[in-house]
This record gives sequence, C-alpha cells and structure tokens, in this order.
Amino acid sequence: MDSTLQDNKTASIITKEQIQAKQMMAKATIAAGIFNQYNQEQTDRIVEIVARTGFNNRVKLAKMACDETKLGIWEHKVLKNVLATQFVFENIRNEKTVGILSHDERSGITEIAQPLGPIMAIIPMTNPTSTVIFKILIALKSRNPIIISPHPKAMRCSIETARLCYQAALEADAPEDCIQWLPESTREWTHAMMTQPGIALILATGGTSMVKAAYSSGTPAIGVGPGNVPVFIDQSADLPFAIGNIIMSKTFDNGTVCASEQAIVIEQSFASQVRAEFEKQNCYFLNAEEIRKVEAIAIDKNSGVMNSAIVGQPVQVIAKIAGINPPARTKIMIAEQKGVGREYPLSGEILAPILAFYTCPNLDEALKTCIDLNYFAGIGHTASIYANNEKVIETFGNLMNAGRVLVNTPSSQGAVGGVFNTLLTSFTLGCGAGGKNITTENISARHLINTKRVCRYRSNERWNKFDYAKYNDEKMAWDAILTEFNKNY
Amino acid sequence: MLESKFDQAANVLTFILSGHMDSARSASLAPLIECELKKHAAQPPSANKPLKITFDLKEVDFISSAFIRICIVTVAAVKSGNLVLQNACPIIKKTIKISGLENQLTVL
Repeated sequence: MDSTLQDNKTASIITKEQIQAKQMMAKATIAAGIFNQYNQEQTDRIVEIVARTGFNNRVKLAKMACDETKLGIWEHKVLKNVLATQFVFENIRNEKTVGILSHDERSGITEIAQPLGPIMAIIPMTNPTSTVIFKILIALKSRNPIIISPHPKAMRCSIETARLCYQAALEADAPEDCIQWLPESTREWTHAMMTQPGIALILATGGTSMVKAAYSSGTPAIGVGPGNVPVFIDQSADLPFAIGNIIMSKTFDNGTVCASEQAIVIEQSFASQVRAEFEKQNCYFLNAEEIRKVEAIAIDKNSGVMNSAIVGQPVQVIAKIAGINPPARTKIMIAEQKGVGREYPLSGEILAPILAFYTCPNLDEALKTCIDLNYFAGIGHTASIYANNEKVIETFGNLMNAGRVLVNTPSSQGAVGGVFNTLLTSFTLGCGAGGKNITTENISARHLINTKRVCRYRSNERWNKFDYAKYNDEKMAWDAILTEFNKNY
Repeated sequence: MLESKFDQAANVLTFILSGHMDSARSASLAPLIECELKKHAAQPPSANKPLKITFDLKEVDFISSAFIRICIVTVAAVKSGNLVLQNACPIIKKTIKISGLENQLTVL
C-alpha cells in the first residue's frame, strides 16, 4: 500500500506515520484513563519494580549504549543508569503524586493531583538508556503514559530499555500501553507524534533543532537545549581541588553531559599557576596551529553545529581526526581563546574533552566573559564557580542566567543532582525563560502533575466589616480606603 | 558636567560619564550629547573613517531606560556598530544583553 493516503474530506495528505501515530495515541489515551484510577500504593509499586529492573540491567544497557552509539565510556554510562534509577527513585519514592496532596483547614485549600496525560519523551544519543529510564520513572510516578522517541543512532539500546521497563511495569499491573516507543526514528515520525492533539507534554532532550521542533509543534514542551557552561576559577579557589573536579567532570563519559564544563575563565594574575596545575594533572594546552586544526574538525564554522564525529570521543581519537599529537596521557585539550561568538568556534558547547580557556585582566572582565559565554550558547542552563570568597560567589550567582549555579562542584554530576548536592536527580534540566522553559528546576515527577486546588469558603473579616460602597466614592484614594479596610485588623 | 574628548585621527568622540545614569541625569545629558554629535557630524568626514562614539562607563554604576534611549538615538545617528560602551561593569553588560541591544552596539 502507498505510504500516503488521501483524506477525502480535507483533501490533505495523511502519511502512514500520522496514521500509526494516531493509533499509538489512542492506546496511550486509554492507558491514561486506566492509570487515572490507580491509587498511590499501586503507582508506587509499579515505580519501584521498574526502577529495580532498570538498576539490575544497568551494566547491560550501558554496554549496549556504548556499542551502538560508539561514544562515551560504558562504566560512566553505568553510573548514569544508577543515577536514573537508584537516585531518581530515592527522590520520588515518598512523594505524594496521587489524590490529595495537601489539605490546609485554615486556608480551606485542598490540593489534588491530576496527571497531565500522555507524554512524549525525546531521547538524546548521549544518554540513550539513562534518559529513557528517568523519563519513564517520573511519568509512571505521576500516572502518565509515555511514548519514547529514540535517537536514530541509539534505537536499539533505547528501545530495549523501554521494553524492559514496560515488561516490568506490566508485571506490576500497570495499564497496558503505558509505555510505548516509536518504531522508527525519522523526522516524519517525530513530527507525527509531536503534533498529536492528545499529547499533553513533550519532554525534549536533544539538539537545538529537535528542541526547536518540539516548541514549534503547538504541544506544551519542556526542552533542554545546549549548555555552554562557563567555569570561573576565582583567586580564592583551592586550585588543585578545583582543577581535579573540572577534569573528573569534563572527562565523565567523555564530556557528553550537556552540563559539563565548556570554558575556564580566570584572572591574569594567577594564570601561570592555573596553567601549571592543569598541566600537572595531565591536561594539554594546544598551540595556535593545533587550535586551528581542532577548530576545523570540532565545529562547522558556517552552521555553528558540533561535529558528531567528535562527540563523546576521548582526546586521542579527536587528536587523530585533527591530525595533532598531544602527549599520550592527555585527559583534556585546552584552547586559549580571545573572544566569544561564532568567529571563535571553540567558545560554544562541545560535548567532548575540549575546554576553551580565557585569561582576563581583572575580576570584572572575567565576569563579563562569563556573561558572554552564558548568553552566547547556554542561556538558562548551568554555570560553575570555584571560589572561597562569598562576595564573589554571590556576585557570580547574580550575574549568570542559569538554572543551576554550581559552587565548588563538578558541573556534569552537580547539575544532574543527587551525588554532590541536594538538587533533584534529573536528566531533564529546566532552563527557564532563557531556554524557553517554564521552569529552571531539575524536572521530576512533580512537574508532570496538574495540581487542582479545591477552595472552601472562608470568611474574610475585613471584607465583611467594610462598606464596599466606599469604592464608588472617587474622593477616597488608596490610603483612605486601606485605612478603612484594615481598621481594627 | 559632561566630559568629552575627540580623537581626530581615529574620528572617535568619547564621552566620559560617571555616577548613576538615572532618568533625571540621563535627561539632562541627552541634549548635551546630541549637541556634540551634531557638531561632529557636521564636520567633513576624517579620512573616510565613519564617526565612532564611545561612552566611557568606568565610573557608572547604574543605567536607566533614559540612558538606553540615548544609546538608541546615538546608534541611529552613527549607524549600528559605531557605538561602544567602554569599561562597563558586569551588571551593565548584562543589562545591555537583556535589553537586546548587543547586536547594535559594542560593550567592552
């Protein structure tokens, strides 16, 4: 049969993807209806069994992800799967997500949870199993069916993760079709599903174009785009500690976390110490010629898009592609930069062990460079500072437009939350209005609930005593009215 | 009240501003800046170099919408890219970013 069918009534072309997406949507809608009847205990049981299954398959799925995508480090992907299961479960296990969330007799307000409805989850190639488990867990905890849209280069591992989770969910008596996945990962399929009227929310994690498509679909979306994390190392920082943390974070899964460090910013006065410490800890400063070679292979200068061939690759592979020879033990390649913007390709996000490096004449200039980096390609996402001077930390926090400003913390793990701080563990980091999101929080089950407020009548003493005909008296201005309104209160 | 200097060779007119650029202060400065601009614009172009304006904000800690208006008027007079806000403190740099003016002027 032809892949397109003619709709006689509207005379518009309906693709096969749209027909199948509609069928999946119908199943998800029924699942949403059934799920709506589940109580907290039933819901929590499903979540626990799925979390256990994800956890018990953490190594297998991590290896599958590395084998299929050819990027990252499998041991680090195991840790990502641990975060997505053990840590996420810890965050949400005791959270009330069904029925009455709270009741305040005094105010007369009762808050009641209502699931959003079917959720579409877009999965990135960089975290193709952990993000699937994470999104499934928070969707199930909030009693929402979920449809997984895998990345084309990570189809097998993402679908296997979803399949394992679905099987476990069914064993725990979850509604049929509460977890589904797209059979193909094409632009047509993604568009067909995104634009289904029944989709309540798109959880979009991925590249700029995918996130933009989600926003443009007309369906509410929480999208996480690029991060361009500036790291300001203040003179008050503990240098060996700071640089050790930065290296641990930037090399985590070969830099595939969107919250990983992108640029180091320091003051000129202690540049030599910073440089020496980086070198001592096996980082390599590229010379001008090497910077040109790395620029050429890292970023497409015209489009500004990262070259996928270097994403999640170790230094040695990237160096080979670039035709340079850094020392064999090099963990991160560092490129000194003079500016920020399209004309400086290494000043944007690179999900690989490459860092930009800025030396500024003073504190103000350093902060201004951080603002430039933040606004150039990572607005709303994450910023990082190493300092032991509270005033500097406060100033930095005020200046950055970032959902997370991490202090003396490795930013990859710090932004995801749970290990080095008390942020909610999440693989979807809200980027606020700057990132076209409604929130800057780390997304969790609580964001997938509509909270209804049942409000009882409560007598307002001031209103009852006040003669509101006085509002009609033009001679009574603000102060006079308020004096009357608040009399004896 | 308004200190300015002119670098004839580079055709750069620099205004050195200080203090709180609130509405009142900006309103009083606007005609003075406009007057200086007109004076220099009336002169023959120097060696084909377009007139560039620099506002030195080293001593400025706050800018109001009235000052932003001065910037917009100045950009219109000298064309986009020929206005530089020099020595801006970080919070003023952020203010310009948020105001969406960064593509029209340069903040250093």
